[in-house]
Amino acid sequence: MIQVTHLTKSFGPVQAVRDVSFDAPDGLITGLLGPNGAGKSTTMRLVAGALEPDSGQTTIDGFETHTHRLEAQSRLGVLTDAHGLYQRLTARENIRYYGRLRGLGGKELEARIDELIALLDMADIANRQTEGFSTGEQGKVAIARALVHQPQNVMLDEPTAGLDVMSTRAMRGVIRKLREDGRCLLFSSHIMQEVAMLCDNIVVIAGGRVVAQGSPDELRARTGQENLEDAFVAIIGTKEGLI
Amino acid sequence: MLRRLWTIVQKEIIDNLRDRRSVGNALFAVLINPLLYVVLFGFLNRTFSEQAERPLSLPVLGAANAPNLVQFLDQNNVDITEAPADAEEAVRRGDLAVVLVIPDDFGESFTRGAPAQVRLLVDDSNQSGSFAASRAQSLINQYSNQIGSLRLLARGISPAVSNAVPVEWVSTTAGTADGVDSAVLNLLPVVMMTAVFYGGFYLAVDATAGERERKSLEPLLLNPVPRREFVIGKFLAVFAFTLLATFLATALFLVLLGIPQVQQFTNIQLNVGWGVILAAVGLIIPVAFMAVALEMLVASYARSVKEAQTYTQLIAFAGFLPSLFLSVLPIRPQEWMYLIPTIGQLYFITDMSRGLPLDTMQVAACSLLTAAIGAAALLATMRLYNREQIILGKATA
Repeated sequence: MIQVTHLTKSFGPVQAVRDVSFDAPDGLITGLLGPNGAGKSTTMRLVAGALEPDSGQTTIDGFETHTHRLEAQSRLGVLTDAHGLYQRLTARENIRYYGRLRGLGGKELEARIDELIALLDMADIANRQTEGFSTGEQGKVAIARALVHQPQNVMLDEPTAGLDVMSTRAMRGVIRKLREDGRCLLFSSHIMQEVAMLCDNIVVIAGGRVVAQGSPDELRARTGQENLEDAFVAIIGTKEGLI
Repeated sequence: MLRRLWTIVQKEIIDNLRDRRSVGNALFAVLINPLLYVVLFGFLNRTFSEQAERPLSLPVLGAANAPNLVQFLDQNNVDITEAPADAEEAVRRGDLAVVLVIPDDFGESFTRGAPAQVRLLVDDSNQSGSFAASRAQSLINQYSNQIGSLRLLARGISPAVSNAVPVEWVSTTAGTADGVDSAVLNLLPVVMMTAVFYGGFYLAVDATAGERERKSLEPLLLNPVPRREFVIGKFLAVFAFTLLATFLATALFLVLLGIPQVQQFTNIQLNVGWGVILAAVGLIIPVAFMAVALEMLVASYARSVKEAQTYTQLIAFAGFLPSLFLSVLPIRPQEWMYLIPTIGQLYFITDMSRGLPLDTMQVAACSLLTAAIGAAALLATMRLYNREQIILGKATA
């Protein structure tokens, strides 16, 4: 369970996040939808503990990210928008490093890595150094790395950006599987169709503010639109920055 | 915590060792120095000693007047040549450095036992001539003393009587090495300081600014690990590499000087044991600690790899410059100079390698001060890592 309350963050004169509040409950997929530059990534970086908020709170399973950073982070797995793999380590070594940093080790860790390699269908690249990996291959390693400690809460920043059709489908499969396991999923996207297809709960962000949130049915009812994509456009007021 | 720290150190070491080109470059930059210094110093030394051994070319006017003296000179590595008739003119013009003139009455005076004078024509304003002239003069003095002693003996008097105040020349150069040979040890701190400041400089930049620029820093810092552990882990990896590079450079320099073929080439007889090598590396460990910590601090502070390289290069340059200066300008240190990091170690290493005793208090004080600067830099780096700017890098915040 991820909770965000009255979150505010500025970079110099730019107000990136203004009073954002929402909940992402367990067992559901919560989508952050908004045009590029709406504040999705900044919100996620605040939740993850990479940035310090100006005001407001973010909690993960009840642990405030900034006052109890280590407890909060140990319950969270994050896929950042830049995958940031170590190019001179193999895929397996990249995953193993994060596993060890999270206190795993030995046979248990190796078994978990094998499991992830099978889940993400990446046996052919597992023992290659990641230099020269395609975006899709990098994404697979990065998500395996984020899931190695089986976190209850998973946050994915634009997980399908730059992926081909097959990789996108595989990624969506992983996201659905995590929901079946009862985990809390928060992911961001500027692709309306993807959000409409996957999410149980949608938070629409524009200009650093939450402009609407609710289930797909609630959003359709609120705007009086049949089609969810039309509902998004009606909420944000423009199609710009969305796909 | 220790297991996690080891995980971080291990990853940094493996990651960097796989970057063969960079590791190779770093080692090359450090190890080329000892090689270069040995070759350069050897050449210089060889040239000097060859000059001293080369036969002295001495034009003589009236060689036939003193066949014994000429023979003596010939036996003492002097090439006797016939001087031109206008010898004095030739010396003044600078065509000849020195000319020995043996007058016609030399034989007659010599046989009589009277002072048989010879003359050396020298242009005092000509520097290069004076070396040859003084060599000729000292040889003729030798001959004169020999003959004088023989004459005294022939009259039943001990030649020692004529030597009223003998002077003994006592060299105070310490240890087993004599002057020229131990002068090469002035270069030892230069070799070591270069290794300490340049050995890990690339890694320090790569592990900090490099990691951020490759965008792997943000996901790394999202792991539930106190950020100081990442700083310590990265530091230890760079420190280990720096120590290795320093040890290799020091050992290479001193081992090279001990190889017989190299000694033959350089004309420097110097054998330094492994004890000295290890002690020198031991003395410089605090400097390595400080150098790596400072380089990590500025590289973490910098906004890009390029900027980080500029800053760390400045630190490295400033760090090793004193050693270069003091190797060519042997200033005798004042008491307080022993306390300055890098300069203190420089004198400790030079003295220790010559077999001089070290002042334990001075070594302890200087080492502590140096390590304290390193520790402060390391703490400052940890503080940087606890701020969000470490992730953002750019001046957006």
